[in-house]
Amino acid sequence: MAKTIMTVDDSSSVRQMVGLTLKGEGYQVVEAVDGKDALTKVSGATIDMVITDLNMPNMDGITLIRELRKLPAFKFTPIVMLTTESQAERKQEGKDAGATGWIVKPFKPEQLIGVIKKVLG
Amino acid sequence: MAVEIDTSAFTEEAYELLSELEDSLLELEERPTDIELISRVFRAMHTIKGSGAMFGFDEVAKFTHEVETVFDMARSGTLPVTKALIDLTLAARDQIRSILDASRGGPPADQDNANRIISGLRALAPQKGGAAATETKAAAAPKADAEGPHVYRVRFEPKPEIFSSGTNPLLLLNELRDMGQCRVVAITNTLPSLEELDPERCYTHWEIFLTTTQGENAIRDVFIFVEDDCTLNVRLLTREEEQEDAEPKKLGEILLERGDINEEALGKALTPLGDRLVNAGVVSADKVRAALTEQRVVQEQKQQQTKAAEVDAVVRVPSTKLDKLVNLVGELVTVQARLNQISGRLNNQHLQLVAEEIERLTGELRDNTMSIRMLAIGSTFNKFKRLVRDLSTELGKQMELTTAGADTELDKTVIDQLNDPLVHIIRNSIDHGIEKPEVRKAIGKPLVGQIHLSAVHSGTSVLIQVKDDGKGLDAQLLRRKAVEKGLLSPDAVLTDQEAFMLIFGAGFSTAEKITNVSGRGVGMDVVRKSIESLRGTIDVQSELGKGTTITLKLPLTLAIIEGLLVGVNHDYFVLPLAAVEECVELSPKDIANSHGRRIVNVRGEIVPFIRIRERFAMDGERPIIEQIVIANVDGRRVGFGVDTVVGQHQTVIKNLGGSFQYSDEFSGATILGDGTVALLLDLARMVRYVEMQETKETGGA
Amino acid sequence: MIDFSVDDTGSTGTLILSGPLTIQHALSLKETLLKVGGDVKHLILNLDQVSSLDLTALQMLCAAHREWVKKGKKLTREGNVPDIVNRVVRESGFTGCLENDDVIGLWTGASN
Repeated sequence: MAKTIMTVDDSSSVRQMVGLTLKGEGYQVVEAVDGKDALTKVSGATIDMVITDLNMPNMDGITLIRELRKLPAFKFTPIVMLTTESQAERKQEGKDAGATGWIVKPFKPEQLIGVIKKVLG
Repeated sequence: MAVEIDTSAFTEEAYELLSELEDSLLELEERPTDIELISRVFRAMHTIKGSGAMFGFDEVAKFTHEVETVFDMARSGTLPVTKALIDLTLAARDQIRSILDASRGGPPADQDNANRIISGLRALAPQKGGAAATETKAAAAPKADAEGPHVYRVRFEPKPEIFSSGTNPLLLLNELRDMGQCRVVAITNTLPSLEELDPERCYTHWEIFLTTTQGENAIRDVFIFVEDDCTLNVRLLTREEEQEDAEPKKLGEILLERGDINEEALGKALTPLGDRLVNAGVVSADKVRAALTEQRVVQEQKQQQTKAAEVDAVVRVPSTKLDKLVNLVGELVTVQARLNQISGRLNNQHLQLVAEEIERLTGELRDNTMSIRMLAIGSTFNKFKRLVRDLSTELGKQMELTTAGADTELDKTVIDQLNDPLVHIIRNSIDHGIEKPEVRKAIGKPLVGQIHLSAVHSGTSVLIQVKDDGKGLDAQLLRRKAVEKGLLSPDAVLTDQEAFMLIFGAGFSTAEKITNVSGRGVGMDVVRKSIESLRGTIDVQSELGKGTTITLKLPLTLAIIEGLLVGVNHDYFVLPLAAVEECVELSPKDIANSHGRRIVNVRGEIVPFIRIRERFAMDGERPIIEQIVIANVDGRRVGFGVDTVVGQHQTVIKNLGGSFQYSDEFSGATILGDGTVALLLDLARMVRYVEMQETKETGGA
Repeated sequence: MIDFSVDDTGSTGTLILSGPLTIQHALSLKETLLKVGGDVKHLILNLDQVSSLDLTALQMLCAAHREWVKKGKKLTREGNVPDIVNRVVRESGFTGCLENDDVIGLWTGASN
């Protein structure tokens, strides 16, 4: 049974890149444009992992992680945040909010897959 | 003042590694999935790179690094081992060699070639990336040293609440498992009773024993996301200084050292320690299990290292020192022979005892010294694998080289001088012997031609055979060619065997077209000369359409040979015993029957002979009964007339001085027990000179 | 799914574990295991239909097993142990945890 990964990013090109990579690996992909959109879309869906950007309009990534961890279905779900080199302090903030790990942008598809294997198996 | 670094240590090691690399690559071609071979290739390159950089061979280091990078992918399984990869790596190996050669005054290495190899290798490599995902990983943790895998003990204690960060610790264990051989022991002694257990908390921690070539940083990288959510302890268990320890640690020592128990607790419990410790309640079963695992893993790794160390325990000695030793032993053998003679003459029992003891010791010393110079011929054989491989590609033929007796030992000097003749013979087999695949197909032979190279001991000689299943030698054609080239008179009668030997004549080549490989008209006569200078002989067997077998018979060593001591007048000569077949007597009646020709009738067979007295214009009267020593010279039986046959003599060969350089009928001299000098005869040369002289005489008549 | 049934005599219970035994179901697994630890003298374990298993389930099975053994319950197994269970046991290093587990046979076939 294919696992489902949600990718949350306001940049359509990042969503596309992440989406294509994941589909190429056989995962199902659910896209969301920001934290709010993500929270709406998770209700009722089975999501095995979330990959979220940090800087997004409406609801940023850190808040999204915090909100997700409050939901029983997401208590133990792997959540990976997309960070940039300049956001070292936000990485810690994200970890504290409950993120499982992080990927530093820019990244290559192989790196993304590597992280997914690490947290989702 | 600049400090000069002695770089010869590096270059020597590098040449050795390169030859190892070549062997491994060729082997790898046969077994492309052999992970041990792949690691061997990788290690060789890694070492060349590492020490190259250390000794200032930056070009070597830089180039090797590029090759290593690609080969690393093969090692990690992301790049399959293909012929293309091996071709390029072999080319890279040659390139490294020419860089090294250049550093020793050879021609400069071809930089374009280097670039071609690198871009070729890069083209093979899949896009970079892979598991590396974090910035720490991107910073490329330094690789562990090249000495091979180490055992690490990883203690991983996640915080109880680790699950709530979405982390699955089992995935991290699996990631470690990808780095090498891995044993995982779960420690569950903090697991509460079911009642008290919070199902969403983690109570387990682990001891992981990882045997890997990667470094500690690579191990820590696995846990990068959980750095703050766990206690991580990585410890290298096998370290250089610990290798000195003769025995792996005892279980108790391990538990003590790990801090799992204290000495007092250890004292409380003994045999069987593990059970007692558990029963005594001083340590949990898990911990004992982990300690046992540690003991086992470290032990296994040590065993591997010991194995490697046994192979590596080699002392390098310059061969000049060995030569000196051999010379001294030679002198000793001579002196010992004199001692024997004297003690025999004096008939003193005490002296005889000592003399016998010295004889025994000298014999052992001689054999030991000789054995030091003995090398397995295998390394030479391996070179030919490359040769055959390259030539098949060049000539569009398919062939396979099989070898046997690679561990046959020969004197180093002989091996060194054997290389070129064997190259010629093998080239010749490939070029003239093995047919093109289409021809082989048409005549119903297997497409792939076979060349079999073998070495075997035969008494004091070694037989080296090159056997092919090619088209064989055509005796008729050989005769015709020889006559055409004026090497043979048209009415000469030759057996097939003798005709085959024609290929070793100077300026003889039957190749229709001159190819790059052989057929330059030089080669086989050079082979004959080299083998003769090694006091060896050549034999050719061939069957038209089936194949050819060339057998080289070589003495085990050049320094000491078994000889037959003969006397003429008051002088002594030594004939190589290996060539001698029998001794017959020549009576005045025999001489009368032969009507002045120098022939002897041996059981109905007419054998020509040479009188040594006549050959060297020696004074003195012939004895009434002469001795004829019959020897095999180039496949023919030839007799040598002498006054007396003294007997077998172990001959320590001394080179003749410069004033004898034109007397090449002597291949050396030896000193007898009483101090007399005996000359060692080169039978083949002698026969040739006599024949030449006779041809001149008869031609002049 | 976790299903526990006790036969009419009340002395033999059958515990059927199936589907994912993961952290999401950890609380209910614990509840069931506690119940199992009650009165029955003979416990039959069925893992035939387990589709996945994580560390939380391993920890609980391990803790439960210790208690049952301590209480002297008779433990037997029906059906097979799925490969996935064996694999997770092996990979997590729990192989030797219940070394005298030949009765329940949960780890049969798992070796390190």
